[in-house]
Amino acid sequence: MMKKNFLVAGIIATAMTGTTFTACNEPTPPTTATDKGEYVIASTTSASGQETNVLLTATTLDEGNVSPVGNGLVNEGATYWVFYNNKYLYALNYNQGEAGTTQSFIMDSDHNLKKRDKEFKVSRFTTWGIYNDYIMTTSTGNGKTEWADANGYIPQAILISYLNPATESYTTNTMDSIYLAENFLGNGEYVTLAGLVAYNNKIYSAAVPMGLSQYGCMQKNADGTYKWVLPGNEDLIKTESGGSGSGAYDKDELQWTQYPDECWIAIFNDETLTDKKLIKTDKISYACGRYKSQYYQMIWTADNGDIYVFSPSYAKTMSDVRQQTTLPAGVVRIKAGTETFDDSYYCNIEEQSSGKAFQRCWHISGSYFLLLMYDRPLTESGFVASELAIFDGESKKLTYVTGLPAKNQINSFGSAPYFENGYAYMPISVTDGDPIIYKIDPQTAAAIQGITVTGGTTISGTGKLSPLN
Amino acid sequence: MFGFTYSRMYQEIQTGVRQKIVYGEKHRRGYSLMPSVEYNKRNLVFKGLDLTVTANYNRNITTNIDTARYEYNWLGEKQLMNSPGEQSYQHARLNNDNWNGTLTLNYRIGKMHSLTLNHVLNTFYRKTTSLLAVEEQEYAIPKETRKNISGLSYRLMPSERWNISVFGKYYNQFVSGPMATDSKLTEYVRTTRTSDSWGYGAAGTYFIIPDMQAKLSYEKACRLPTIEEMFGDEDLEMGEVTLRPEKSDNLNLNLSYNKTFGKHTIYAEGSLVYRNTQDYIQRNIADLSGGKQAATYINYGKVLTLGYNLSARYNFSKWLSIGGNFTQMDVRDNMKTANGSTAANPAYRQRMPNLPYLFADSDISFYWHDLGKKGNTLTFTYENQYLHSFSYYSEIFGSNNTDYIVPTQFSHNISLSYGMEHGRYNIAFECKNLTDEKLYDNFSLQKAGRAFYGKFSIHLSNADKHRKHHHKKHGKRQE
Repeated sequence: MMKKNFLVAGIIATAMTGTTFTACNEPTPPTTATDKGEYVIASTTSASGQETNVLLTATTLDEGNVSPVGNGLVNEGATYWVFYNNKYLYALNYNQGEAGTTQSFIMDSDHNLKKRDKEFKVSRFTTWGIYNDYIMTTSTGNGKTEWADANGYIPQAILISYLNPATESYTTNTMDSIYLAENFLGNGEYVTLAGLVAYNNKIYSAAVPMGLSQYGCMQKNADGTYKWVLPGNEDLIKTESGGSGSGAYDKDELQWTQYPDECWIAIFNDETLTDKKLIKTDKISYACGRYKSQYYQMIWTADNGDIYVFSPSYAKTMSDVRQQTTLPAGVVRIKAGTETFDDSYYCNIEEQSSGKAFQRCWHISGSYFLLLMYDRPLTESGFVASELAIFDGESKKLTYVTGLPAKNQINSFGSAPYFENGYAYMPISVTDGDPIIYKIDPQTAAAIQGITVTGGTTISGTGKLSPLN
Repeated sequence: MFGFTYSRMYQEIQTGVRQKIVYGEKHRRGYSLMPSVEYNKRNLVFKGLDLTVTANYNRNITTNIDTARYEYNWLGEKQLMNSPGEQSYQHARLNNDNWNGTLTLNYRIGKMHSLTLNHVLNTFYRKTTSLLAVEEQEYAIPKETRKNISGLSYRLMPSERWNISVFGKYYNQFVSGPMATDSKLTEYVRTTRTSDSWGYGAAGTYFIIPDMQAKLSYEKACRLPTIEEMFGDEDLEMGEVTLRPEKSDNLNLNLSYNKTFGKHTIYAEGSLVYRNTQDYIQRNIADLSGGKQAATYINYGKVLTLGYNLSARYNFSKWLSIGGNFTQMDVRDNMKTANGSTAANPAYRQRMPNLPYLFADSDISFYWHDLGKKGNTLTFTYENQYLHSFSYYSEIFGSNNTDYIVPTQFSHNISLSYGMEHGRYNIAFECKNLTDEKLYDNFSLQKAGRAFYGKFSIHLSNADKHRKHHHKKHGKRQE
């Protein structure tokens, strides 16, 4: 359960153009219990010093309540809940060889969820996507030890996993040098992919530059100067190991990108991610949201086929000014049927949000997108993602969502919201009370209270499954 | 009196904290050196004042190794991996330095009164070094903790029949370790914390009739977090530096009966336990960033424990001993509201999950004294253990409770041991889990099936001979 402390004083920033704040809406208690149905709610209850994950079903997300007490399927939880074709639900769990297998579920004719037999040990991933028969996940990690350089440093490669829901199988890519993530963009840096979007039978992905790995950094020219370290950046090279988790670094590495003022998109021909085309724009910074080890997807297709690419300019939080970006958080797009950026399209998000960026975004319907906004600019410390806003791609207008609980009452947002019939269903857990799914109408940016999980602590995701048998 | 202990350890780590993923080569090894000293002085300074001081220093070096190039499956098959490390590529050496000392001052005033002052000191210091690269790389911030517990008690013994004592305790703990300053986990600073608290209590014993003794005690107790709970072991266990001590009101009532009739000796005991705990520390699986699962600890809330224990033992002469224990412990969640919220806690008054609550054991031993040679003893023991099933998750959630039950376990062990020259040499053979029952610990990690053990021990000190003389003089020997 994510617990965030909000500074109540920070809420009093009212002089915002184009946004209105209605009085904070206190959630009303739910009335009748809702029957089991096709909608799936992944809830978690923190009780007795433990977190218990329960998958619940309901006939509607618009109203009523469900409860995990004596009801629902207890499961191991998920890093990401992935609904595949309304048939299978995957609880993607990644681990570095530790516990946390990936399980999958189907719905039976009584609207109960059942766990399928197989569990998978999925290797570490930073992003996932659905392409044809597969749920794909990728991450960037060490390639083969045989490719190590004279220092023993191993180059970074793109590691791909494929889950096939229909056949309940799991495969990974074999390691060929074509999967090297080193010098992916021609500037020596290695990349991590964020988002895998299937479009026109190809896969679009944001190639996020990560800086120079030990392998890339220690490459030297014939005269002994660094091949890829920009002149003047030599002091950024780490002299000892440190950090931890996703922030861990090693000696002889140049952590984080030297090129924060550009955005690269890779267009792969198929799921093997071997043939690719790279396109670049310098209107926005790299296109991914960041939180700890997560690289959140920020490229989405609108209903008309246009691909919108968002960047929150997270590079503004870098400690060294040479690695910070000056570009504001913004949006560009690739017109339907083309494979180049639409030069006539650009939108500066920070102009409409008083300098605030966003942690995540999703496509709702049409050209409406839901953005999870930070409560202050990234240049200030202590930023927290605590507000929702609607972005209309066609009109380029950003509107904050009204009707939600007060910022200081919100504990967390669900990581897998659901979109149906033009509405967005966003789970919200509050500091004091049961978690609720809110139904948001993008045309009015108004939210109304939907179904409640009584006795739950958080709702991590919601979606729909059709009974299989 | 001086002592010295040297020990070595090699342990293969087969699974994570949950028995899902299997490892083939991950292991840890270590050794430890422990010099110790004990000093006793009666009538120090003036008559009636006794002093006992003990101290030991433990230097332990443990190396966690996970450098395998292959990954393994449950069938023992292996395949080459892209990069080394089954769980997380590491080759780390942990240097642990522990100091332990106790000081006890006992002052007898007349025949009825005595005053005792007691102090315990534990210090722990851990430095971690990574041995992965050619050059050793030391992690900058070591982990350390210092615990000081002082106690003062007064005891009144008006007769052999009853006595009463009251005591007060002071706990002080200092911890220091690395904490991340930001969510990117790149910057760590040395963080320190000192916490202290008071405890007190009273206890009394009373012989209701000769051979039957009642004991009653109350304590306002405090349990300081252990080293593992705060700092973990740098590998699968994650620590939690900000843990607060547990506080509890403990009440114990115990009734015991001990009587010898000729060759028969019986012993029976019953006890009741009541414990009302706040800031209960619980071992828990945590979802780290990116879905990693490791074990960690949290201060949860309020827990109420009510339990009873029955024990009995019968000895016949010197050659038979039979006995058993039965325990029922009810540990229930006593928090009305969910964590930090006014919403009702759905698990209120439910059993705390993943804790055994009903268990029993019994054993029977036969002794053949002076078998083969005078002073040699052959012992045959059969024992069993029963554990009632319990739920891994809190029982009230979901409709599929049977998926997560640790099953009822009933296992049997037998052992045969032969002691020579009054226990100076001892050889023993043991078969544990004779029926190959599936046994689990409380995180549903399976324990060993049928296993055989052999032990050989030699006691070299003269002190043993001293004790044996006492045995001969007093005659009776109780197992």
